[in-house]
Amino acid sequence: MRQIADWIILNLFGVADAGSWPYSWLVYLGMMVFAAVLAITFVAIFAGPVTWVERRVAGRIMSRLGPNRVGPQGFLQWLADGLKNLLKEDLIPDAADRPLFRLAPHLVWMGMFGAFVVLPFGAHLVAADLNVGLLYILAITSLVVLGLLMAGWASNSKWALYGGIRSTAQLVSYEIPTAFSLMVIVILAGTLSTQEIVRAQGGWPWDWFVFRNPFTFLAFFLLMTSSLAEGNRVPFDLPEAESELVAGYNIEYSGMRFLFFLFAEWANLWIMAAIGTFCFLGGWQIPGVSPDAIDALLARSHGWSWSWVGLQALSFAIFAIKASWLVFVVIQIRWTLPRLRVDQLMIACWKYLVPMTLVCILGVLAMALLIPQGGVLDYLIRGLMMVVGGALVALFLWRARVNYMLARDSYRKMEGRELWFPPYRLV
Amino acid sequence: MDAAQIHARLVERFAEAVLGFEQELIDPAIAVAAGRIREIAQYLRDDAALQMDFLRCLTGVDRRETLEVVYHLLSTVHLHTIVLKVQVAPDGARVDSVWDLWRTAEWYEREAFDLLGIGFTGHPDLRRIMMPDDWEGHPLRKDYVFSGEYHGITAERSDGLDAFGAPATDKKAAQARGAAAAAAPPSAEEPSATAATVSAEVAETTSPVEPPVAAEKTPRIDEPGESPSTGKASRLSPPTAFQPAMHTAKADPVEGYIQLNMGPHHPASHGVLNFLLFTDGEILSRVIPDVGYLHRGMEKLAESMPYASTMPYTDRIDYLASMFGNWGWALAAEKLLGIEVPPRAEFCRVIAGELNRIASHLIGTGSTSLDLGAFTPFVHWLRERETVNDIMEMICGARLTYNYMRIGGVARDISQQVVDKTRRWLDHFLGIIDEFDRLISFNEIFVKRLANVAVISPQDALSWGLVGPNLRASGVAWDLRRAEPYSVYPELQFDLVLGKGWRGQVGDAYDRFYCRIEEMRQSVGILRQAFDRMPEGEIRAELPRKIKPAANEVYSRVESARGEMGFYVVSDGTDKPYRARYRTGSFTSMSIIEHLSPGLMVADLVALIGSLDVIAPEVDR
Amino acid sequence: MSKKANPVVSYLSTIWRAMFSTFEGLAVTFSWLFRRPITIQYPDRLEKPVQEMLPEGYRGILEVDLGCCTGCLLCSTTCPIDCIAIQVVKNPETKKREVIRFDIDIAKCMYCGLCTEACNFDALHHTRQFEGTNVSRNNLVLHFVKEPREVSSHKKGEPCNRRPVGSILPEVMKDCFDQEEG
Repeated sequence: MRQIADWIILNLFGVADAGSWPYSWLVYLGMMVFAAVLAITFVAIFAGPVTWVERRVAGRIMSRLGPNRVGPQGFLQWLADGLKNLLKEDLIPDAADRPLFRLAPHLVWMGMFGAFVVLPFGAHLVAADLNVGLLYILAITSLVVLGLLMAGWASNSKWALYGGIRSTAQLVSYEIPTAFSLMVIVILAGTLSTQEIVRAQGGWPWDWFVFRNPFTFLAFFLLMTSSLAEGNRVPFDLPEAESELVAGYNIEYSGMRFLFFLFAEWANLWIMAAIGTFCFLGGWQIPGVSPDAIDALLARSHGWSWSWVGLQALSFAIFAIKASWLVFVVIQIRWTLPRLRVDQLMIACWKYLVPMTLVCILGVLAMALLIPQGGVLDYLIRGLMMVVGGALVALFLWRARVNYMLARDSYRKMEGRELWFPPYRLV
Repeated sequence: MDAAQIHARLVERFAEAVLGFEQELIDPAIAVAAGRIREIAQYLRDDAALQMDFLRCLTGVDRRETLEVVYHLLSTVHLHTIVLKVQVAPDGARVDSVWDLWRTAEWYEREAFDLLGIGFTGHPDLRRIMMPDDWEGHPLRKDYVFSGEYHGITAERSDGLDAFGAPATDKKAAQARGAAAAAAPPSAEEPSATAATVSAEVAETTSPVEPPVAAEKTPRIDEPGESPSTGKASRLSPPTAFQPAMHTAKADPVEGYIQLNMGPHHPASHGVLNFLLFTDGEILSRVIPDVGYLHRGMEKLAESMPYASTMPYTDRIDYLASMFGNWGWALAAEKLLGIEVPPRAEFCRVIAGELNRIASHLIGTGSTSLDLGAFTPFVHWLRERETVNDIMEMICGARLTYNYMRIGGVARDISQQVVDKTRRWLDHFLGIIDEFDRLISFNEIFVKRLANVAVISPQDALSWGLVGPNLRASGVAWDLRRAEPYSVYPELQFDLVLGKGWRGQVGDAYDRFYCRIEEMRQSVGILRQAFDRMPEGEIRAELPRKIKPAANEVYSRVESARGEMGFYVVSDGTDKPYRARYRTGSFTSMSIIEHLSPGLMVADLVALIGSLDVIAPEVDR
Repeated sequence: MSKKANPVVSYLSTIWRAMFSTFEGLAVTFSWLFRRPITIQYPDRLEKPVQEMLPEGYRGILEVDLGCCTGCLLCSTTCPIDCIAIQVVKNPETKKREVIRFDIDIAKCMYCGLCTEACNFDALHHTRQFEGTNVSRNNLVLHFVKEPREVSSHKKGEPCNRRPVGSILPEVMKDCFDQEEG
């Protein structure tokens, strides 16, 4: 965004040195507002369809159809639900701590939304490429803890309080494995800036950090696991465990305030997937196109250039596809696993995730010292890790096929029709 | 050892305390002196040759002149049973409590106290269990008259058929509903009038009568009108008289603990029941189950109607396994009448029963996984149950409340079409069980949540009167289909599924869960055998025109999906039972929760309830 | 776990089991994306009316063919909850027995089927109709008698020219259900 702003200053106002021009801050401010609006719109638009996807996927996993009535294939269900929530009565319990009760959803929302500032959506599509990007994400999402605790406390309900306390313990604990597994990336990339991390990787899978060596491969899974916990997703959804705490911290909320919590949850889904993508899966990197070439294109064209816009769009698409895939995996995990218990949650964090992330850090350090970057051995390891990753995917598909085949014949005999009903066949 | 020998031993030991021996009863009973019951009970339990380690059922019968306390005892070691009876005077009746001999007696005695007004000396916590604390009278007494109203709730409907005037046969219903009902229905209309005008007239006269509004009539102890918000808030706030009346004995806040009400409406409470939790953070220091929200007075109801008419009501005891309610009731009536059931009908019963057992275990195991946060396995089980429901629908016409069995047989025959459909489904289902295992039973998180949680030792399980899969999971090989065979079960091959400590200790929550999964596999085998062996023939025995069993007593029992379901029926020679008592598995498994809970976590309680497979209506009846 | 396992082994095996079982579980749920759902889209997107999907013996809303009813009151006495109200009077002019009222409260009815078993004259049957939504419970009382009607006089076991099961109910339900609230 800064580059785009500089470009605007240069080309629209004809000022070569943005730093000394007195009105640069106006342009910067305008770009910031623009970026914020863009991000909010993105979250809102993303959160809506993703609920639809989640519900359709959950439906099919459960042998149901999922919402398919509002709009084509039920795609507009999220609009109907959002509208319904907007029109609902906004209830605040009598005994609630009213100011805190009102404030809590905003804090949660701000914490989640703030993280969008540094997410690199495309080659130049980042609101602010802070040089402390990763630290910033970790810091700003801590607001969520405050919000959840506040919601739990202010509701003046014991169930909500349980939820609030649980989420505090959980989020604070899981910050550590999250940060540690991100440390692996920081070591490899040598920077905290999100854009620089993406640029340290490449477009092709062997340039991705996830396949760099066994420890990054492991760190990727550790990061995804601990960010599931950060995002209160199954199997770590203890703060809102519906069968124990009914709904946890948001039990007393209704209408729009409740929707804020849900929004934050879905926004977090995206953040989780985005972090995984730009840290480990090469982010927006286009195979065969180096980021420097895109920069050069911007610098050279001195104006509107379709090729630059096209590459931006392509990089965004690549980023979105990778992140959407992670989102899908997270959704599928949600509809597969049961929930941990509180003590097991802590055990999983302190006895398993933290030591394993530490091992990853040490391993990556050792690998960085012992194996020269770009050497034959390095590429051999990368290739090996790709084989491992590919084998895992193949094994997974094979197991899924086995499950399907085991049920196929008896189903046909029982129902007199085929079991095959692919997901693209919408009803 | 049979009843006569046990009687002889008791006479030898307690001479004058043994008052009589009713050998002619189907389940022979020994009458003993009220003052000595504890002593005798202790002897029966501890004597090596007797070892009555299991109290099946403890209840009372109002014999008008006296109140009778009835103990159904069983030895799971020597496989013999005996019934003890104690007579007490109706006014200020007191018997020594046996709660520390068989811990299950604690709740049974509370129930007898609640419904019959029998006091138990030495009982640690004698208060009402089914009825609210401020209820007047003891409903199962024969002279009990319902006042017709409880805090503004009346037993009367002012619309529907009642609005159009009661039919001529309404006397029966009036009796059943208590004295208040008799006043309400307007007497018969002019016989010459046409139906249309009659209904119009009566509708007119009844319509101005406003439905009773609870809020107006309820005597409020402290009206919550002080709140700044006006009438609206006080209307919405719950009537205080309803609140924790049941807990007055124990509900005082305890210093340093959070007191939580888990229920009556809570996602993990299977049905409407309440748990009062005292927690130290996440750790439970005490859990008090509070039941009775679904108490419908089914035992009282059974006293007011003929044997055959009670059949549909037995569906409602345990709505997930209603076939066994039917079965037990039919068995009780058949034993009283001395009827043999035709072999084909027996096979129909076994098929329907085992299908129902699968359906019930599907819910039981599925909701366990739901309680632990895994939604998908539950829905997958519901999907399989859907097919069972379809099959049931073909067999008996209903999906939940089957009302399939009749005294002397079954309502309808099982057609070849049903057999074929079921066979195909069973082939499919075995594969789905394996898939379910891969999806959830062997999932490490799931295992960790259940293994070594709430371990019940065999001794505890027997003492608390656990039955069915809950008992077998603790390693006690007790299955009525084996131990006291009924129907055609002796002809069928199946294994008893005992807890092995699959993933933890024997008797933990995982064993209880997995026992049910394994039992479904066994049921599949039983069904296949039953289909192979099913003979042709009648499906109903010849019955007397009027079902009027001679005066006798019977305790019929079937192995329901939740264990032993017993029907203690006292007949006095009329066409209605003098006393009917339903002994259910959920009642006893509910009573052990308080004992197991200290030290568990809140989330474990959910797992515990799920693994015990408690059904609230079966607890409350 | 009674035997003391090596802590390192148990630590690693826990990790392995957690990973393996999650993997297996995901494979199961993934395979379900390719399987046919079991749900049907009740009530509007069905191949045929849902009533026709039910088996023949389904115990739905009761229906009486008054052409076959002899006014013996067996059904009403068998009913455990008295949801059937019948009145039979002697017409002073024709000296014949006439049924002037045959009401079934389908809100009260528990669909147990005991009345249909009691009916010896093939008059009372369960239909496959089960949809009875209404705004008032009063409307859920089905009045089968529109005007006094002479009872049938056929004997037990004799065939009765019964109208097909399910053909009477719609009009009765229509009359009763379309009433005003109250």
